[in-house]
Amino acid sequence: MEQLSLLEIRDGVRAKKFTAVEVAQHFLDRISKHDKAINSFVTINDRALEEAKAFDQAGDFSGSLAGVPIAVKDLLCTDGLKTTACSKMLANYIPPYDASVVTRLKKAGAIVLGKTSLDEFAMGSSNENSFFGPVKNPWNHDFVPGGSSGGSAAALAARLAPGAIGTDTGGSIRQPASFCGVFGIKPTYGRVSRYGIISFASSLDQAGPMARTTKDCAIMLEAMSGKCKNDSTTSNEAVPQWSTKIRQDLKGVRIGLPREYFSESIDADVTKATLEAITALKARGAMTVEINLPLVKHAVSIYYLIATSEASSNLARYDGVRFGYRSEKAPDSLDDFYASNRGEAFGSEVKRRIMLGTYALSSGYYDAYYSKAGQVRRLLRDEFLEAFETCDVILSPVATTPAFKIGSRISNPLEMYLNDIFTTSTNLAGLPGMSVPVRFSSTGLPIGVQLMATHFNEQSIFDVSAALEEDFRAGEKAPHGI
Amino acid sequence: MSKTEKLTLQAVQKVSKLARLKLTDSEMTSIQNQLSAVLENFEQIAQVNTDEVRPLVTPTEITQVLRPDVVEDFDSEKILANAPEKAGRLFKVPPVV
Repeated sequence: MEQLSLLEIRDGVRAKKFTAVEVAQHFLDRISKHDKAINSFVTINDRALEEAKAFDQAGDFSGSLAGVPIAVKDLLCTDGLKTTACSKMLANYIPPYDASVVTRLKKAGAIVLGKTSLDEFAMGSSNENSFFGPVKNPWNHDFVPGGSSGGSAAALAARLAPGAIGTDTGGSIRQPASFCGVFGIKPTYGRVSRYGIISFASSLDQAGPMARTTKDCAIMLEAMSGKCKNDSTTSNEAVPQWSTKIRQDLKGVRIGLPREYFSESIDADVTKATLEAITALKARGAMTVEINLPLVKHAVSIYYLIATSEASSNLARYDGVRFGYRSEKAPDSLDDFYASNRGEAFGSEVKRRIMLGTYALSSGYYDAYYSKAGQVRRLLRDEFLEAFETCDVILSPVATTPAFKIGSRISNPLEMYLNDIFTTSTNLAGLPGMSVPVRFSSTGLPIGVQLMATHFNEQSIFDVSAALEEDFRAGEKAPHGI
Repeated sequence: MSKTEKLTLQAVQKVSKLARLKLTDSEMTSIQNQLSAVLENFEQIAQVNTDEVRPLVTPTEITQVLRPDVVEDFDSEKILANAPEKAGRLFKVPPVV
């Protein structure tokens, strides 16, 4: 059953080939058998079977995700189910409500299997910053699964769930999807409600689906998207039924190739994957257009200033008063109380980012850093919008390398940050971006390519993704021993 | 914008105060070095001409949404259940004076 797509599982439940309880039980069994080695889940939903049973008994299988078990990144609040952001700060936090995304997925018939690991507060690109220990890449346990949605990507690759939710602030869905050989899309900013998702950088954060086929991603995104009264940044834009409109004939589709994205020092296998994808799309009638995005070289710098500034403000709420970690030490003052609670509970990457953001927003530096970054951000977005006048989809690598070894980059944050060079621009510009598995490296690690489109044009991305899926079938292969 | 000098330890201490973040001495030093490197990297964007450009604070066009300020769905028991310490229906903090 674990080899079935999410859609096949749903159709099986609808056709009464199996019940939601049987499906949930199957995946829970797989988690207890395989996850000790991978560490992708931090909390199992101990009511999953109960919920599946209630679903079977209610007998309404019309939902687009009827009876489908999903894994949810532990950054999304789940009513009554521990939500930790993989931080000591929230290690015992039980939300009193569901994130809107979770409400919508449940309404469509999905059953939450459990919560998946991430870099603490989604800050990281390797899943090594989790309070609950690093996640292993199912393809090779010495390697990282990517991050920050590393748990969701690893769980999918290990067939521990047919679908998963991630969030993406600077590449946190796409990079782990590439490292683990699965599909993952960060939708247009405003497509998906951020209500109930623990905030990292509010102007960049978007949740999105991760799965093992293009169509599964599309179906999940349909269920997740749309205006939400609890998030005023959600868009009124209609939500198309992308999954029913996927076209694989790419005649006339213009694929933009940004000169800047191919001039960086890129791993030979990644280059090979990217070029093979281009060749395959041309064979289907697509044409390539060379485009220029000169400001992309500044994206990582702008991103780290803006993301950390917003984070320093968002994470100010963790003070140990109403919820979260509280120090045992008797405080000397109110400030000392806050500072101890925060100093003892946040991990080093989170501290580093709060410090950078606080500095960038502090009196005397605001204009030089935060404002300047915002100005260049506008110019960068405009550059992308101009590029999309000459092409439909931009294709690029996802990351400069395949998955790297656990421990190999953790001591050099700047090197780790530069890994995000291809993904951060999409968040800054608010564009949709997807990672599509294409091939494997010479050492057997998966490699994806990134597809980007203009605001609210997820359809073109799904069209191209489906074509690459059919040509390469790279998402079908399972890791050894799984 | 002037060239960033390496952040002084005093500057890092001041920021940690502003952020209400207690750091050990070794954390201070490592953050001092790492932040200096990140800020130096940021210097590259100083050369981008941004005269008359409005900062982009949110990536898509959105308008202000207003709603009546009324309490909906609110379960104080569930909310209080997460408090590290409470007294009846109140959050409790240690005495600080």
